Order: sequence, then C-alpha cells, then structure tokens
Amino acid sequence: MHFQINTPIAIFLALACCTVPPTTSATSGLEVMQQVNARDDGNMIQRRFVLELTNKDGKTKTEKTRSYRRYFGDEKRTVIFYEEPTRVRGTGFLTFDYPDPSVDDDQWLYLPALRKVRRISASDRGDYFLGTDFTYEDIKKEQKVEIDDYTFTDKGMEYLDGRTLHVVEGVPVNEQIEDELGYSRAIWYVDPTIWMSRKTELYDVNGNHAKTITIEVVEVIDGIITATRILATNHKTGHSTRLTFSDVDYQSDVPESLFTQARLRRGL
Amino acid sequence: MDQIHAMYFETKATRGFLTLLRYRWAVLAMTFVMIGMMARYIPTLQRDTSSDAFMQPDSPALIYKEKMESVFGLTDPLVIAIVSQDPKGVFFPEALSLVETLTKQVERIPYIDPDRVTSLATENNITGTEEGIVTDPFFDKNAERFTAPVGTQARANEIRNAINQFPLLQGSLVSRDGKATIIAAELLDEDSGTAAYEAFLAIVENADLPENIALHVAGEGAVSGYLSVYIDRDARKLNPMAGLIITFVLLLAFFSLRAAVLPNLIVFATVSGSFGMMAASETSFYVITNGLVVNLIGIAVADSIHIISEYYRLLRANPDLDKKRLVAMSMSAMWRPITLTSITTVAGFLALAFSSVMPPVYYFGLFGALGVFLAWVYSMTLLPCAMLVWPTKRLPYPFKHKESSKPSSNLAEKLMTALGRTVLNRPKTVVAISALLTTVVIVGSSLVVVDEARIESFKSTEAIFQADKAINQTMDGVYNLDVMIDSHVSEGLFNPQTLRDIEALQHFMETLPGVNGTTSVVDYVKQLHKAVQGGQPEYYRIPDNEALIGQLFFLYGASADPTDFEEEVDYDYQRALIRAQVDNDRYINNKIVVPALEEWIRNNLNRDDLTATVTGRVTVNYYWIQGIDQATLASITISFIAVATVAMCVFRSLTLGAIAAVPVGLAVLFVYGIMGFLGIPLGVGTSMFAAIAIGLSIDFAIHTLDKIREITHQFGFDNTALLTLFPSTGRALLFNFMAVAGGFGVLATSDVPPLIKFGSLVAIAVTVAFVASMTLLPALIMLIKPNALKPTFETEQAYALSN
Repeated sequence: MHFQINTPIAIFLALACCTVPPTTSATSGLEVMQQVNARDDGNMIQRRFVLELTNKDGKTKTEKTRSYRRYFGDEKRTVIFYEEPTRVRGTGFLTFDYPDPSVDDDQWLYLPALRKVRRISASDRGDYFLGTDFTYEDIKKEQKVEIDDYTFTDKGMEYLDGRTLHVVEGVPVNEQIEDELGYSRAIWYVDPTIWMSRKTELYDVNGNHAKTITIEVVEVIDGIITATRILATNHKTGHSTRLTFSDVDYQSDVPESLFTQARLRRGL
Repeated sequence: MDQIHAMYFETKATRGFLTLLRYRWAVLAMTFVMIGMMARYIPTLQRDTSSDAFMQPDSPALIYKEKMESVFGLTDPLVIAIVSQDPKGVFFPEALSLVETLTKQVERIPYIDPDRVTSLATENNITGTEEGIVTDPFFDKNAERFTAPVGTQARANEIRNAINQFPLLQGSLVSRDGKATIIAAELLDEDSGTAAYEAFLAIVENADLPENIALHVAGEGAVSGYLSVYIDRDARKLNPMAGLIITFVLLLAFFSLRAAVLPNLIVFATVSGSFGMMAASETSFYVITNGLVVNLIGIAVADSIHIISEYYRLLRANPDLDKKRLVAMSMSAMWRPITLTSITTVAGFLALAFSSVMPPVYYFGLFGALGVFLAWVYSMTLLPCAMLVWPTKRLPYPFKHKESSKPSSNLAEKLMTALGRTVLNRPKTVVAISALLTTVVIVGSSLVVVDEARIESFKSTEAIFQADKAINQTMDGVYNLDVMIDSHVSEGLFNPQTLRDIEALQHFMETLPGVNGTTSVVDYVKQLHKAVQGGQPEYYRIPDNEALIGQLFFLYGASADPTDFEEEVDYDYQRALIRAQVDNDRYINNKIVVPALEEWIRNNLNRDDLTATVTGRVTVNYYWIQGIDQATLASITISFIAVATVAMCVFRSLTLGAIAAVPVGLAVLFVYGIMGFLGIPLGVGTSMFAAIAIGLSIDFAIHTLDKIREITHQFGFDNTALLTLFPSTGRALLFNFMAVAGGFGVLATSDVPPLIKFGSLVAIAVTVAFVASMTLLPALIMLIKPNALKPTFETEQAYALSN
C-alpha cells in the first residue's frame, strides 16, 4: 500500500475544469466520477503539510512535515519527514505504491532515537493514515475514487454554499470491498467547475454516519487544481483531522535519490 | 367487650367521621380525581438499573471513575466468550472459523460500532524481524509471518505460538491456558445495551457450534442492559401475585367481597399515588424500587384490615344500628391506633432514607414514607366513604353468631384465645423462652458478614450468571480495578522513571487476590520496543531513552485509529490508565484489594510530580458497599430510636415505649441471627430489611399495647379481661401479619436474589414481631404491671364494684 498524503489532487487546468462546461442533468453518476478521476495530479510534487488532530474535548495536536512524491512509471513513491513536534523530528516514512493491486506496498520507517530504518507492514486500504481520521484509501486516491469499487447512482444536483453540485451515491460492489474500505456507502458532492468532491459523506458497514470529508480551500498551483485544506470529521469518535498544504510545488525536480532508505536515515 | 365500643358513640371522633360521611360523594369524587392526577405521571417513570446509581452523584469514587471514563473514552463492553473443552483449546480450525464468523455477525449488529469490535479476527500479530516490524492479521491469508494456509491445524498452531509471544493478548483476548477467547464490542449508544444484548443472544443461539465449544454472552454492557429487562419481567410477575395473595388473605379473614375489594382500592390508590409522585419528581425506578411496590401493597392493606374487622365486630354487637353510624364508630375506634402505627412506620422509612448514603435506598425510604402517609389518608377518608356507599350491610360468615350466648366463634378467634390463655397463665415461661432464644440469636448476629456481588442480582441459573462465571474462570477477569496516573505535564509519560513506576505498580497489582493480569501503556511500549529491535526478547523492557519512548508512542499512534490509544493514555500523554482484570466483584475481596493498593501507592509512589488515583468498577463497588457496612448499624439505631421515641410519646410513658420496642428489637435480632447461622451476608437487599422491619414491626406492638391499655384502664391487670385482647385486636393482627408477611413473602418467588432475601427477611421479622407482640409483650405487662397501664381511679372503683 502506499500512503502518500502529499500530492493533492491535481488536474491540469487545461484538461479538466476550465475546458469542460458544467454537465447536464443527463450525466450519470459514473460519468461524474470518471470526470473526477480524469483530473491530473502532477508527475512530481513537493510540499509541506500540517496535521491538526482535534479530539472530542477540543484538544489539538499539531504535526508538521515535509513531503515529496514522484511517479516512477506507474509506481508512485512518497517520502514524509516529520519536523514537529520536536520529539519526533527526523522521523520518516517511505512508501512504494505498486500499480498491481495484488502486490502489497512497501513501507519503511525511520525512528531517529533508534537510528535504524525498519520495514513496516503494508497498510490496508481501510486503515487509518498515520493516526489521522483519513484512511490510506482517502489519502492515496487524492480526492479520486476507484471506479471498480462502487456502483454509482446519480442523485441529481444540489445547491450548497453558493455552488451547484452533482450528488453521486456509491455503494461498494461486494461485501469484500465493503470490508476493505470500511464503508457501506459514500455520497460525493462534486463541484463540476473543478471536478472535485467538495464534501464527501461516508457510512460505516452498519450504515452509521461515520465520517465527513470537506475540502475547505482549493487553489490553482502551477496550473493544477489543488485542494490545500481538507477536513475529516469522525462522527462516531468526535475526533477530527485538518490537513493544510503549503509551499506546494509541482515544477521543481524531486530527485529520485530522495526515495531511498539511506536518505530516509539521513533526513533532509 | 364489644359493648365497650358504644362508648365512642358520641365521641368527637365519631361526630367528625359522621360529618365526613355526610359529604361522602364529594370525598369520593375528590379522592378519585387525586388518584387520577397522580397516576397519570406513572408512564413517564424512568428506570435506572446501573450500579453507579447506588452512589451519591458527588461521591469521590464515582467522580473519579466518570472522569477516568471521560479521559480515556471508556465504555462498558459486551462480550462473547468462546470456551473450549477440546485438548487443543480454541486453537483448531473450526473454533477459529467460528470466531471469524461471529465477529462478522457482531460487527453487523446495528447498536455496535463496527470499528470497535475486538477479537482474534480483528487483531494483528505484531512481530519484530531483522528488517523491521511485521503486522499480520491473525486470519489473513496473505500474512507474512504465518506460512500455513488459513483453516488448517498448522495455522491454528502458528496463531497459538504467536499469542504465546504476545503478552498483551494473553488473559485479555485469549485465556492463558488457550481454552477460551473473546469477542468484545462497544456500543454506539450505551442506552441500547438491552437491545444489543438480545441481538448477541440471537447470534449465539443460531451459531453452528463445533464439538466441545460453548458460547457465553457477558460484560458490564450486557449486565446493565439485561438487568433492566430482568427486573421489569420480575415486577410484572410479583406485583399481581402480591395483590392476589393479599386478596386471598382478605377473603380468608372476612369471607366478604366488600372486604376484598375495598382494601384493594386503597392499595391501588396508595401505589399509584407514590409511583405517580416518583415519576412527577423525576426520581428513577431503581433495582430495589421493585421491593417498594410489594411493600406498599402490604402496608396499605393493613389499615383496612383493622377498620373492616372493627366494623364487623360492631355490626355483630349492634345489628340494629344504621350503617353510617357503624362506619363512623369503627373509624372512631380505629383512627388512633392506625394513625399511631402510620406515624411509626413513616418514622422507620424516613430513618432509612436519612441514614442511607445510597440514592436508591434514600428514595425507597422517602417514597415508602409517602406511601404510608397516602395509605393513612385514603384509609381515613376513601375507605369509610366507600364502605358506606357499598350497597349491602351483610355480616359475613366468620363474624356470625353460632350461639347467641357466645360472642366469639370463628376459628381465628378461637386460636388466638387459646394462645392468649397459654401466655397469660405462664408469663414467666414465655419470658424465659424469649430470653433463651434472644441469647441464641445474639450469637448468630455476631457471625454476620458484609458482602455483595452485583452479578448475584441474577439467579444462578440465568445464562448471564453462568457466562460471568465461565469467563472469570478462564480469562483474567471481567471486572476492572484501575489506577489513573497523572504526570501533571504534557508528555510527562515519556519519562522512563514514570514508566518504570507504572510497571512496578502493575507488578504489585498482579499480586493482589483476584487480579490475574494488568494492562497499561507500558506493555505497549515494551512490545513495540521489542518489535523495533528485531523482535529480540531482551528488548521487552522500557527504553532508557526518553526520545525513543516518545517515538514509540508516536509509532503506535501512527499505526492506529486516532482514538485507538485513548483507553491507555490521554491526548497529551500526561495521564495513563493502568487496568487490572479481576475475576470477581465480591466485597469480601474488594475490601482487601482496594485498601492494599491505596496503601502501596501512598508508600511507593510518593513523588511530587506524579499522582495516582485508585478507581474503576471494583473501587466504586468497594466504596458503596463499604457505605452499607458503616451505615447499617446507624440505620438500625436511628430507626429503632425513632420508633421507640414515637411509641414513648404515644403512650406518654418511658416504660411502655420501651416495652413496645421489645418485639421490634427481637425481630431485628432474629433476622440477624438467622443470617449469621445460614451464612447470608449483609448486602444491598439485606441491609434494607432492618429499617423496614422496624417500621412494620412496631405496628403490632402499638396495636397490642393500645388495646391492653384500653382493657387495663377499665379492668386492671385481670387475666380474663386481658384475654379479650386476643380474639379482637389479636385476630385483626393475625390477618394483618398474614397480609404483610404474605406480601413480602411473594418476594421470595422473585428472580432477583437480593429481593428474595429482602422479602424473606422482612417476612421473618414481621412474624417474629407478631409472635412477640402476642406472647412476650402481654407476658411482660403481666409481670411488670407498668404504672401507665394501671386503672384510673373511677374505672378501678367500677371494676372493684363489678367484682
């Protein structure tokens, strides 16, 4: 599995939003989601991200990282270095996300106090990403959706916060997928001007309202539509995670040498 | 003797009751409106069967526990235990497959949070290798560290070996002997415990079980949920039965429809009034409140028995008097003793209320007192008016004359007269026998111990009781003894010394009786430390490096759901929870464990920068039963003094007050003696009996003394005159006793063992009080001849002349 938080959803402006006019109501749920998946997210990216974790009592923990992602053909590699809090500074995660879904991702961890790189087991799609309210699937798909996972239904258009959005419902195609994802139903509120779900409602395998993922800020960076602030709220635990991206750069080269165990040990 | 009542003919009381009867329709209308107004609240009555309800909401033990639950996000789980008799334990393919199937089914129960189900099917085996850390789901077919295919004996063996290397799961997820494993689930909403418990039972009943495997459903979530249903079901059985038994006693006493219907009307009015007020005041219906229903039925009927007895006796003596006068005369004769006994019973209930620290007992006393008051009001107003408007004026069979010259003829009267003759002829023997019995029961009382276990609220044949037993025998225990550690600063738990102190505390806790295992964040730190060091066993220890500890915490946090760790540490890594699993919840054990732990902490964790608080279910239960331990004697003393004082005021005599208290004291002593000899411990149900028994028992003494005084004032201490006590008041007391003892005796058929004990003990106490009032009390009067009972001058003269 891969976890690559960093690369925000991106589309080439030209390809996606601006050139495609808002769809008509005849568009099917599947077509809407295909449009979403057609966005480009850039070949390589470097950025900072801040994780703000808030528990049900309103206590907040903040973690700051630098992260890099690069495609090696169809294989996606990601590295994350923690900068704050101080006690974990230098801690790093390296992930190789292979295109063949039957091959598990590779993951390595570096703990500076141990001075050793350790390989760690691949995470499942429904596992929580680095102790946040996002799952690995939520992060790795970068606001896209695995088309084969769901049966989509068009629920029409809805007016929300000054925007007209496509409402699409997705139900996992079988119980195995449902168990893997941990969701029995998802509802996307897709903004046709950017082909991104502004709000996503997720329901657990028992149909309880489990989570809401909201895109709070979207920016166009280097011509790519990028969500730079995303909030995930877990309705069952009252816990929430806000992901804020900054210094997003799709242009500069991300050297291949960053994605090695040696570099993980050495840090930035 | 019946002619004596003619004296009341023109008393103020008679005139007062005649006035009341003149407005009978208005009185009836008003009382029915009052009953209706109170009864309409009953449907809003809220049930609270939690054991925390027994603590004062502001008691420190409860506050600490609630704070701990809030800090660490704890909820009471429901548990399925899979217990195996197979030599391989649960480690064979069919058993493991059952765990997987049941886990999936449990996850689909609507009241369950599917993300918070824990079993072998959801947990990961975490191991360290040369390269790194491997996390493998036990049942994953692609697991790295398991080589044998899922569903084979070889895989089952691999899983067993893995668990042997994983101390965190031993005793908590899988029993140490491998004979049992559990599936634990958390509720989305704790109020849905009952429904979830039923869903669990349905799953268990429909499960296809391999040979040698048994399933049990338990857990605090299940107990609270089911207890509420259980109590409800019990009440639906008990209350009508109490009503039936009392109606039967009434029919036996009077052979009259009127005498069966009217007291039931009073019972209905009293019970609906008390419980209506309970609902209106938003007081909860607790486990023990069930006993109050039966209690009030017994009490409410007693007043009616005395009034109706008197009515029939007057009717027999004065068949030509009109009904209105007869009713007024009966009321005039009985209002005083009934008022006095009501006052003393109220005093007993109030003493119970104000001497108890437990809210359910407090409200039991308070609403018991209200019920007695309502029964008195209705007996003084509704009953005479209803008697008057009752269409017939028939003298029922037991009161009919067989021979006109012999006024008393029914069996009960004959029996009581025979008893009276024996007592009055041999007062010294009666006192001697009583003294001997008293000595014996005092010895028995000294053997009484305080003990209580909540699971014993269920009968031992109940599935939940057996589940509790089975799980506690195989696993480390379902009861929690907790210590909350507060390091006072954010990330204070990264300090290696703090973790070592926690570890030492855990070691001590594991030496305590009943404690079979402990869990804390230290176990996770050690497990992760070993895992990151290539799985080498020597690294199963706390690192000396504070930064590494911080990073291990981080690693754990990064590998789980953000709230996964909250049961062990708080959000700032400032506070930690140490949880010991205890296999029983008996007070006898708790009172050793909790003080020992508190003392160890005082002596060994004496650091300024660290606070340790003992808490958890076991601690809370220890403190509330300790309340019983300390409050019972106070409660008995207060109740006893209250009723004795009332009796002294009533009779305006210290001696008579003291004599009235004798049957009461004996009743309580007898019950303690029986408890001591039979090894029945003093618990929640049993501790309440004394105050209630005191309030009820005094009635017998007061009725008896009131009648004796009436007789001796006129005729002195004359055997023949005193003998009339027995067929008159004695007979009424016999049926009063039968109704009360029968009502409480019904509780003996309850399915709730504390109520069985409570009911039986009160029934025994009432029996002793009745017997003592009819034997020891007249015998003492004969021997002591108290001044307060001596004839007044005029009556003495008259008596002398008549002889």
